[in-house]
Amino acid sequence: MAPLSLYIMLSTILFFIGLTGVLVRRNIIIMMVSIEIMLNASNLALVAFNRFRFYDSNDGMIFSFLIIAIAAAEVAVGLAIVIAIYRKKKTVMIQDLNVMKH
Amino acid sequence: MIDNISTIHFLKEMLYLIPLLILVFSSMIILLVDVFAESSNKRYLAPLTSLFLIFSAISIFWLYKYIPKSGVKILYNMVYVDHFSLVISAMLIIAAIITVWISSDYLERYGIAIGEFYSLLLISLTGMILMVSTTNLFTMFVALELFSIPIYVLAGFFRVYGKSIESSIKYFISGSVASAIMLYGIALFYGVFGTVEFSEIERHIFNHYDSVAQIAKTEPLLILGTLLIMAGFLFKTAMIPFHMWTPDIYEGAPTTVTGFMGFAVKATSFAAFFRVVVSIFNTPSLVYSENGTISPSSWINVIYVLIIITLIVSNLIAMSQRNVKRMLAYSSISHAAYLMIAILTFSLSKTKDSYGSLLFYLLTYLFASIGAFAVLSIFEKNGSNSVTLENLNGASKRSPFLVASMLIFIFSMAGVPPFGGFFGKFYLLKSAFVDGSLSTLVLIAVITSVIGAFYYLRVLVFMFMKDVESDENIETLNVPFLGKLAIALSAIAVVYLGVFPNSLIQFMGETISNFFIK
Amino acid sequence: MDTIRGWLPYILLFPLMGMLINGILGNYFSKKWIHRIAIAAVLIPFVIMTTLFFSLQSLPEESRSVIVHIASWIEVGYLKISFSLLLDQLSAIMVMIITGIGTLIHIYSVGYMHKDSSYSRYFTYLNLFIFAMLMLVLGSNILMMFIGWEGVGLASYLLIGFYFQEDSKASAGKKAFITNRVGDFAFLIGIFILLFVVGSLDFAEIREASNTGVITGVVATIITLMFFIGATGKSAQIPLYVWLPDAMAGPTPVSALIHAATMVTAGIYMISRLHFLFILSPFTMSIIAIIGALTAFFAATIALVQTDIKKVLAYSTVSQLGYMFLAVGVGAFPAAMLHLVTHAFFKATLFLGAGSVIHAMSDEQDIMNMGGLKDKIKTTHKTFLFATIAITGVLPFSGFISKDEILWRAFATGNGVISNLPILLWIVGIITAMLTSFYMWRLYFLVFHSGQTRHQDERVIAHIHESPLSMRLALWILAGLSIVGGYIALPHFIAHSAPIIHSFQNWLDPYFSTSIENTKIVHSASMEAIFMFVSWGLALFSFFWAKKWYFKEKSITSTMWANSFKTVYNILQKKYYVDEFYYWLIDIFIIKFSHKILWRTVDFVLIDGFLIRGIIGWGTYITGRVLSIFQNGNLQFYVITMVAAIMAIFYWMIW
Repeated sequence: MAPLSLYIMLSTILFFIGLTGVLVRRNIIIMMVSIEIMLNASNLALVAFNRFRFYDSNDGMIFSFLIIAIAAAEVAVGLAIVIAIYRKKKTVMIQDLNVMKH
Repeated sequence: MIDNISTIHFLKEMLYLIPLLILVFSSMIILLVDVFAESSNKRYLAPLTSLFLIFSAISIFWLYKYIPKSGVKILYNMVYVDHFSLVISAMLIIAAIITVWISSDYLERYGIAIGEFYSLLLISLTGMILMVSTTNLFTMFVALELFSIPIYVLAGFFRVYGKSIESSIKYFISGSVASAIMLYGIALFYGVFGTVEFSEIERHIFNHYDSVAQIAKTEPLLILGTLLIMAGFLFKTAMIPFHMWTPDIYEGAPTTVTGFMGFAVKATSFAAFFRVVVSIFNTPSLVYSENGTISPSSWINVIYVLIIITLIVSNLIAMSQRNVKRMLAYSSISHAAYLMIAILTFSLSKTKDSYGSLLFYLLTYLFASIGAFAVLSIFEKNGSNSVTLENLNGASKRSPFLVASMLIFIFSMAGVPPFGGFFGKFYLLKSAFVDGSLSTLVLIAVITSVIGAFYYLRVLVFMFMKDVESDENIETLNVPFLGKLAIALSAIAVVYLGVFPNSLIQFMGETISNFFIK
Repeated sequence: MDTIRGWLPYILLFPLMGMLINGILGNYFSKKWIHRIAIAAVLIPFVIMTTLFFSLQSLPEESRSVIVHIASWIEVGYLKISFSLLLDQLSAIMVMIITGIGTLIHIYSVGYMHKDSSYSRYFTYLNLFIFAMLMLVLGSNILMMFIGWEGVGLASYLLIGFYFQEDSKASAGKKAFITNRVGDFAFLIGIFILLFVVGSLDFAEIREASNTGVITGVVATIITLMFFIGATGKSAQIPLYVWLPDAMAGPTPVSALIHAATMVTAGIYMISRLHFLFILSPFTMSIIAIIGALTAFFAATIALVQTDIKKVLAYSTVSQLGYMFLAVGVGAFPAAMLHLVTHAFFKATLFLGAGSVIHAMSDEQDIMNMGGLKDKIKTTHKTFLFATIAITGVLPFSGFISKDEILWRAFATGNGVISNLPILLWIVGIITAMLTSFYMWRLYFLVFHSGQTRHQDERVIAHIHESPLSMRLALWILAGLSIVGGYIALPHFIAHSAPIIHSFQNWLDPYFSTSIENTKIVHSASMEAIFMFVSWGLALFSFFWAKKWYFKEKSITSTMWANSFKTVYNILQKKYYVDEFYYWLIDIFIIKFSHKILWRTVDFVLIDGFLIRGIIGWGTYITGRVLSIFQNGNLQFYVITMVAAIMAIFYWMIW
């Protein structure tokens, strides 16, 4: 079995992929997908820590389920907002949403 | 670990959750009522909601007498109810009641008087109360999401207005990123300690590490986790440079929602952060270096620098704002810096004097800030969803009541004596000053509050001294009954806090000193 | 003791509640309920106070001082100010007067104001006044007293300008308020010095400090002079008396309650309350006595020639207050309090009577247009007559007893600073008594006798009518009190020989015990009888003189005198040109100096223009603008900032 460090490395890479996605992609839906990747990076870290370091309890694994639920709720709300935006502005690009500034 | 828990025991634990349960069930009842009620009866939704909120508040008062001073841990240590959490919860519920009273008429004017608003408000409130009554990082994160997601929706509640949905999506994306960052920090904590319970984490740090430098060498993940969790809180409390979302969201969200979130999100995050600081961050090995001085790379110094930046930058930018909601957003950022000073003072000095200042400041800020936004929500012109300084021209002729109340709120926020805000600032800065190491901070806070007075008082200049230019502004404003009640009660509360601060400050101090009962 | 502790806060609570209820919901009530609430808010405290008075009396003499701690108010460092009430001999008397006369005047107002459209506003202000006045007398430290002091000032301002639709009445309110500010400013400075020296504002601790020598003579002189300037503002003494005659612009019951019976005596109360401080400074005491005597005299001379019925009474009030200051100035604090009480009775009667006359005459106030009202308004006439006899000092009536007491003490108390002062004070006092008798009888005769009513408008004469029952009731009760009110303190020579106890003095003496040791009486009590007859004789002389001139028609002699002493008459008519002098002063200092130089040049150009707008204003504004460039509306930039900040902090923390 692969060692813990590889899992954590993968989780970190996932986290930064997600973060980069949020920072550089203009499409709001893609940004939301990137946020999901960030959350899943945490899930992976939690499960890996649980499996390798604290195997006599299941706290990390159970919590990762909670996070999946939260992520689902977040996406549901996020997509609803995106639909509202599309109806109003006929676009889902974040750079078009800068009425308020300074 | 846990077995043979009887039904009676379970019910007894539910007793401590009554305030939360009332809120959860009432949010669903409101939704059902909204579906089945005739549209002419929907104006009763706001009184119904406030009735539930008052029930919840009563149960909090009852619980306050009922629970021991050291608090109770329930649901397998996932929830922790103590006096501190009850006091914060009571403040949050008061904020919600005021918001509901103002919103009923406000929503009707915008033609979106629907029950989801109240329901979402109640769910959000549930999340906030849960967040302040836990000492478990997992529960804390769930609660954080539980109160954030409804707020995202509430910010975009005026879905036909571009600004409202823009603020919603901005809040949603930036908030989600911040949560994800914080969650990664929690995951790292879990990886280091194998537990997310505050007291166990504290014990672990205390037993295994000596100083900041040592932690940085042996377990850098712990430092990273500390930072990421702190970043989540800094985002929610809007410390510069984590504040960028604040002005846009404050401006775009419906004004009553802005008022609610301006206080409630801030109060919740500060209360939770305060718990984290008291239980985890304050462990000596996270603060001090080997020779007993405060380590230059500890979180305390980070917060110290951020406070200075926040105080200066927020007040300077607020000076150049014409939009009052945006101006109040920057002002709320500077208030956050004050609250951070209270937390720093608490960490550095253990004198009892500093205990009450954080909660008392929050209390004064509650009434002044929600009251100010309530007044603005009545002044704003239909459809614009924003108030510029020019909109307030000749306001004193349109509604003397509103302007008089606004005067009280503004004076309180600017820190003018007979009002609550003065004593909030005074006690906070006094206890920070008594602890010598923060005197520079106090000096900067005082100087910047002078700048603050400038832009606060400018609102009054426009209200009292500028004359109306066009005819459309002249007509007198009709203040709805519930709104009038809410604003009047907030104004009275601000004055009361300014005239009789003493008993409350002692009460708040006692609440915090309960933390040290083991 | 426990009864007092339990019930005392309610005395303050009821007027406050009355004010809030009428103030917030007054527009929804009918007039009947408005005055019921307002009267109850004063009557109930009076009933409570009456019972508390007896329970206070049942306590042993040395423990007749009850402090009720309600809340701690300000606690900052060594400054600890509590919100607590003090009931002792002095405040008990004051509370009785305020609530008692207050109730009667509330009842009177029901009739007097029944046509007014701002009925609830009127009673709200009256209850506010009662609340503030009770706070003034019941506060156990100077700060609470000062709040009450400002509160009554506010209530007085609101009530003087009650008919604010008329410019002159609104500006009379402003004049009263601004004049009082001058005094209050000095009062505040005194409070600050006292706080600096003693470190506490509690009466008990100040007393302790003055008895143990913490406050030295010079400091005491400065503090007490400051306090006295404050008192001259509120109690209308030279040089700040100018507002009181103008304050007659308010409704007449207000003049009776605030500007005759209660608020204007706040200065006397304050000096009596702090007498232990004042007697440390013989210099201040002499100043107070001199100012009091001079005010009494000058106000009386002005009253001689006034033709407005309320103005005559207003100057009479100033003059009588001068007597009280004369009394406290010579250390006769109980005598001052006695005159305060009796003056409250008879001056309230006179004002209410004047109100009744004005009411009957369809708002006519010029006494030259009155006359012959004796048979048309009988109740008013009788009560006015009784009160006139009381104020002019005829033996069995109350005014004589208190005035005689003051004159006797002024003569009998030696003065360490100016040795001839007592006899001078007495002469001024006795001449003032003679003048008082003259102008009061002149007023009485011109209003009620002197032939037929002289008003031009026939309809007004036809409309003359007696006032409604509520007004007559208040008049009779107060007139009765003016007659018998003085018996609580009979003159020394009677009290010494008769078994009647000198009860008023005995009641107050424990509070003023320190002062009695410090002010020695240098003459025997038997001389008092001679003095009494001298002043009685002079009063009678004035009475006959006034009768000769004004009883039938206004006689030719009086006009002849006025013509032959034209200059004097004009000076009196113009009130010694004091208003004009003040206006000139203000013109030079405020309009010319402050406006042109300080505001236009220094403030407007230098500070506002150059400093604020220029350096600070534009500097901060531009910085703010530059900083807000980063707030560019682009969400991804926001997130990048956040992430960059986290990375920078991480770099810092891990290093």
